[in-house]
Amino acid sequence: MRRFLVCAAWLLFLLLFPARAHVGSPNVFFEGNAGPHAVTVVIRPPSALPGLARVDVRTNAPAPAEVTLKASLWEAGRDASPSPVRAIQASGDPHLFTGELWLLRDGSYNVTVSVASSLGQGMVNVPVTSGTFQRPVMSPALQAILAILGVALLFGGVRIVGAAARDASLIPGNAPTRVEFRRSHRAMLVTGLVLSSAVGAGAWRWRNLDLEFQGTSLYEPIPISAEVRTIGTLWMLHLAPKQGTTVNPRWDRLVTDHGKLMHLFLVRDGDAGVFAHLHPVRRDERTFEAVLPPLPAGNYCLYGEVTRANGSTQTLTARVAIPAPLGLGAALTSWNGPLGVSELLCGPGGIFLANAPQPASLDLDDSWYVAPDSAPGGQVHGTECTLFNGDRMTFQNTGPLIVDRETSLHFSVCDASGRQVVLQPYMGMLGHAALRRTDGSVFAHLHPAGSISMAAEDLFARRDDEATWRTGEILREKPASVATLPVMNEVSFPYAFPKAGDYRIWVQVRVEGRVVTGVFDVRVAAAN
Amino acid sequence: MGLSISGGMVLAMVEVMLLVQSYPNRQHAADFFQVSCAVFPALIVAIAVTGARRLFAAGAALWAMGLMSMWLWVLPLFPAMPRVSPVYQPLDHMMPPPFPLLLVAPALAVDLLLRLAPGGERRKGIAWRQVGEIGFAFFAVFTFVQWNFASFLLSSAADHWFFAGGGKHWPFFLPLDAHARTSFWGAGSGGMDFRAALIASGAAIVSSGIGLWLGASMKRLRV
Repeated sequence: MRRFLVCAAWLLFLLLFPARAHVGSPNVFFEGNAGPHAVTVVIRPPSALPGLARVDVRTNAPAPAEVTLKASLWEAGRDASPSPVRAIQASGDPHLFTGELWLLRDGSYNVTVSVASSLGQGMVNVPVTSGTFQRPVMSPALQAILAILGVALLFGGVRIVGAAARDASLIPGNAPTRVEFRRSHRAMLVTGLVLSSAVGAGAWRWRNLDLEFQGTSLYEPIPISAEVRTIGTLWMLHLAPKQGTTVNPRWDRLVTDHGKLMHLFLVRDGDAGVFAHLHPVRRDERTFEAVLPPLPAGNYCLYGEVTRANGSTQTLTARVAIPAPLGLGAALTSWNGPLGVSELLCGPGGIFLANAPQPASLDLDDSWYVAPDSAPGGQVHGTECTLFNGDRMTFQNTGPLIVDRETSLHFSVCDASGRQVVLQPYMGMLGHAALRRTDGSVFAHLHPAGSISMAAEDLFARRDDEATWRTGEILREKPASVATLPVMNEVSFPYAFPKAGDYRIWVQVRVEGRVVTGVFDVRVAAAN
Repeated sequence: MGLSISGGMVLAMVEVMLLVQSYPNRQHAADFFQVSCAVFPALIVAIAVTGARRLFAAGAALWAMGLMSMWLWVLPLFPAMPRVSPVYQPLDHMMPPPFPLLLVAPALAVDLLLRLAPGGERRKGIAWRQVGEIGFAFFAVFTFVQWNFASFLLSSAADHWFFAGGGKHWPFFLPLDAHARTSFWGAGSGGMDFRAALIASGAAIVSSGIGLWLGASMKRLRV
């Protein structure tokens, strides 16, 4: 019973807070190991629920291999999952398997991908945030067909009633008289009025249902208000739900992802010449705050990623005007010394599961990038980018980038003399990447493991462990095992661009203790 | 015979439309009785008036029960399993609908009352007393029979292929614990009290009046 109540509470929680990760990039990408097999998983969630999610699994498992898929809803757990679905091997590609999974409800699903071959067997968990993101639209042809059939049905009904009123009481063989015809016309008139009223009432009811659906079931981003406040010579960014919003977003049930409750990305509007990756702290259940680094004045787009305690992720978006920095910050905007600016301003980061005190400095993992020539229009970066410490980051992909085609975005780092530079863990990963279409319609935050929230993956891995629920340990993120990270100078991110066009990619890695950001502009071509 | 089957099919179709609110767990709630008393008397009385034989409405109700029971007994013979999470109620066969309503009992009462006062449809105007008697009889018999039968359906004695009761058969996506499966829903504040019974009996009387008018109209048809 207690478990049932807990599940019911979770369900209510989920219904109140539909969520979606990233902006304009609904597909989920994952790269990892299922036992002895390397796998890359791409999940294309449905735009409306219930709906079919298409799952593509690419694996190096030797033939004959078997790939199975299983989706389990967070509040229900793995025990309440249907039988696994067998993925079908793609014709002409022995390493690609595809399958479809039904998703029923808003919330957070875990897709378990199991791979078995002669090498052994293994599985991976890929969290997927599900929701109704689009209002289903009927095609004009179907609308026309249904309208014609509806009109025929209405006139048919009127005619049947008229015929019945005219002929039903006639003695067989007798012709209807004027009295019967009058009765027939009266009956048809009344029936026509009744049926027309019923159609009108139905249309009214349907419109109300549609409005209710758009208001309650259709996902809409929570409107966020962002403003900059002054504390001494510090600029403090204050994030809170907009006043008067009908949604009441409570941020008291969040979990840390890489040790942070929120990953906030700032991109300067227009030229995207300034980029910052910050980690605001939660002051209370409706407020986040962060100290702003010395960024040039301007209008900025904000993308804040949070992971809820049910494994669903959400990207909060807002815009904010940042004034010119004051005091030391003003001097540091043009700093070109031997240390990174962030090293001068950042304090040691802390992991706050609960609310935190007012931040007085930046987080040690905060980082930002100001293009040397960040005049409007910005500079166009090719396949190589010089980092602020003199190292060079290279975009290794050589082929064209095609819309909706899975690819791995490869980057390597060398020093000025061309020697490979070893990448150090940055928040438990070899690197972080953010990409944005120039018009702002697409934004995604990627890791070498894909676009998933690592916190959500961790949550699902421990979802069915009773002990972690009892102690509340389920909300405490398992520390990333950096010891298992490979020693290398390359980092890659699995992704498929959702739209053709021009994109800017920011790649952040840690080198010799400093976080450096490489910036690349790429063009994604439409599929033929 | 053909008319009786037709009447049974109409009753069965209406039962299907009201299936969700007619689950045995809802059969102590006021709205179940109010909706049932508003809908079924019109059909059953119309069928009884139209029928040429005695116990015509009871026969039609029996056909309806037979049709609904067929699904109850046949569907579980087909293997099936849910393919979408969450699966709170594991299933390895198609889920049967609940045992049909015992409409045969109030239909029998309607038949008997119409037989006791035959020719009501030949009178000029509406036989108000007959309408009241039939409506109230429907309400009383239906409430008494269905109330007690619902208690039986939720008991372990009904956990059998014939009745498919005992709180064992549920849509796979409903998170119901053992207590919720075998208890009556809406029986507390939304349960049957004097006011709810008054509304239900009033609805049954109005519905019976409509049924008498409909039946008399159908009787005038020449075929």
